[in-house]
Amino acid sequence: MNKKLKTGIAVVVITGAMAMLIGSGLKDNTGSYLTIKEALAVQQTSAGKYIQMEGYLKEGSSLWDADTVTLKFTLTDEQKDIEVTYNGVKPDNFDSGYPIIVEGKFDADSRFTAESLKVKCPSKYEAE
Amino acid sequence: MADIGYISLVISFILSIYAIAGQLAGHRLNNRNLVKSARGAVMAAAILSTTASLALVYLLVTSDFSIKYVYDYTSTDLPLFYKFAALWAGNGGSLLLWLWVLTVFAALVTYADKIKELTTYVSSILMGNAVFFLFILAFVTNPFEKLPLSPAEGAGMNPMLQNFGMVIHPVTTYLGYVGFAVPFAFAMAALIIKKSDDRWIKLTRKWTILAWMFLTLGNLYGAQWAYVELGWGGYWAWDPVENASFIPWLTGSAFLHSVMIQERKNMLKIWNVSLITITYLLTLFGTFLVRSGILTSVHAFGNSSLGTFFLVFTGIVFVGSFWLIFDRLNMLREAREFESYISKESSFLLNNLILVGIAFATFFGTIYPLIGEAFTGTRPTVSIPYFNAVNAPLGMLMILLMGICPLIAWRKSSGKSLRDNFLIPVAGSLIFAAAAFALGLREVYALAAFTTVAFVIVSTLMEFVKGTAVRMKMTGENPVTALVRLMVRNRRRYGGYIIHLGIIMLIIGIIGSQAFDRFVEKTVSPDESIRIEDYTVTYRYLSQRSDGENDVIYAVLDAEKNGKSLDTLKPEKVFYPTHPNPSTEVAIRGSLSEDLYVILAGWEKDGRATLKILVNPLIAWMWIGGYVMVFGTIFALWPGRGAEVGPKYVRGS
Repeated sequence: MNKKLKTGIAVVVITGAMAMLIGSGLKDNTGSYLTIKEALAVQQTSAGKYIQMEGYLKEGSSLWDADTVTLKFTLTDEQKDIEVTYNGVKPDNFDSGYPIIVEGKFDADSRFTAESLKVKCPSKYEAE
Repeated sequence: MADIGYISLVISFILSIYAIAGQLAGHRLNNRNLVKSARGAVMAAAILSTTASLALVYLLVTSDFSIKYVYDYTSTDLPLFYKFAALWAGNGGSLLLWLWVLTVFAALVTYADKIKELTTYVSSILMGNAVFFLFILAFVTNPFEKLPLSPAEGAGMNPMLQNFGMVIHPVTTYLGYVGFAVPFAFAMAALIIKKSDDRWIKLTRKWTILAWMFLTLGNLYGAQWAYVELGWGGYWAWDPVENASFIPWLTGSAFLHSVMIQERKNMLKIWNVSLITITYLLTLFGTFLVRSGILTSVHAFGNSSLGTFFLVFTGIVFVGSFWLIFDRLNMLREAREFESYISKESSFLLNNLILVGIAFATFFGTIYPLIGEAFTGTRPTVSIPYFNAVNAPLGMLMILLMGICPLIAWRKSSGKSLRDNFLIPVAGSLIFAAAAFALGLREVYALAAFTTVAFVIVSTLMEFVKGTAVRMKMTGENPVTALVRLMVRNRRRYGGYIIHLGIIMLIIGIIGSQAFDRFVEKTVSPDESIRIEDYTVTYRYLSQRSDGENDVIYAVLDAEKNGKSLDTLKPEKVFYPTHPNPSTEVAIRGSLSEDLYVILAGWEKDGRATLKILVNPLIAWMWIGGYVMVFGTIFALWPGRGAEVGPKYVRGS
């Protein structure tokens, strides 16, 4: 067997191993990006599945419990609303009217708990 | 002033087209005067771009709010420093900065005229890129757009941008991005005139390394900025916008290594040309991702039309460059092959595979939502653990290779030399692992990672020791003189090792802060304490002060470590007059071993405060490593004797 062929086989094996690593990584760590409407539709059936949603804070809906460091609020996209619980502190600009991205899961009793709560930074680049 | 700026852009646009047409036509017709005048147009375009940039700076610094851009990003009370930095706070201005760097680079390369037969094409390719940016600036996002009425006050700069990182991160990132355009243009020019030798690589080596260094700094300052400013305690979240500048860094790093194989062995020609092309395309594609708003990112970007333009341009460059590569494949084919698997060359090849593998994994994870949506209709999301799960093992393999590579010879290593070379680094790292275990380090991944790191440190330092010893024997110099002369006379090699040591420091910071970070979130009453690791943080009271136009609310905290009192910490919320919501200013007490990081998250009417406290071990080494890398880069690039490439290692030469 010549060296070129052997080198080729080595490259294929290594590339294949990396592809498998990527594949298994994706299998374990993907969720769905859903509109609030879509999320509500699967509220009962997708407990424990990873879901990402984007929307706005419904005005006056945020309830902050300092003792337990828990934030409850309603996320809205002007069509549908959804209640979100987040065990953590309010990020900056939370109630500035900027878009909010939540990532988390429906728990067993169909309530959405966010593991991460991010406010889109009203960044250096124009919003429209 | 705005008119001067805009007209400069329009004339520059026309001149750039002439610069391309004139140089190509003059070259074809053998008309020296035409070429000369077209090259004059390159210079003129650079001067006009400079004029336009200065015009915008002038408008920003003098707060001329009749200009929309000035109104959008500044206000009169903004410190001068940030008024200037507002040049790159928005789309139009940042593209103008990009254009400016690009045209200045083009003028430098055109007038340096290093490889005569290439210059025409290199210059035309760079100006072709400039035409694209000028088109965008003149017709899509004109930074000199006027408002119908001139408001008395501007909208102000987003508080998050008012940080030192804002001054460094965008500029370094752009210098990195645009810097890669130069080796790319040379590679394409060499293909056009069918030169398959490595002169383009040698000539652009400085450009490539500097571009790489700036991109390194850009990424690192971005991370540091996020760490000190955004107030979430982290520095990297695998956000698409972050990945966009990390991916070309990876392929650029691969290119830096693989060109050495071409220099030494005349191999990997196709790979090298493809790699630099991909790197440049990725800088454009990254800009498309960042500007199009096509992916969900915490960095809000809108302006989808701009994204479309970038996508189309990336597509054109992609098709054009790869068509050229395929057309010239025969010219690039090589008869040579690796002489042995256990050789430096093969370890370089593996290094390239892994770097490109990490780049691909990151790229794929970033665009997977788009691919998934195209096939299934619903958009999947890829979470942070994916990137860590895939990139951490690949990264560690990469680091291991960094330690192995210096231990094996070019061409072929004998069994005996391998045993001799590996003995000390392997023994050193095992002793380290045993000591770390004895001291109580039980986390398998961290232990494996730190052991790998120890191996690389010993193996790299051995290179310095061995070289010095040989030199002392040959010249009779004392150890210090021998070490200094060894390094100075082989700057490329030892500069590279210094960069490797910098990367190792960076990795130590990453391992420490990822594997051992701890945090608590708690609401406390005055004089109540929070314990975390060895620290006790006692909340005293909340207070208020004015800082120029801004009002600042801060908490006063007494911190202790193992009973020993530390400084008072004052995490803040700053209220800006031009901004509806306060922004967090964290308090960090940093040391080489760990950062105590405190966020004032909020407060209650009864005087209680909610604090988030993090302990981030070893994170300071990330930033130190960055500076070591810059030092190593400059050391390697310093011109003069000792900076040249080593000999060719091919059979029969």
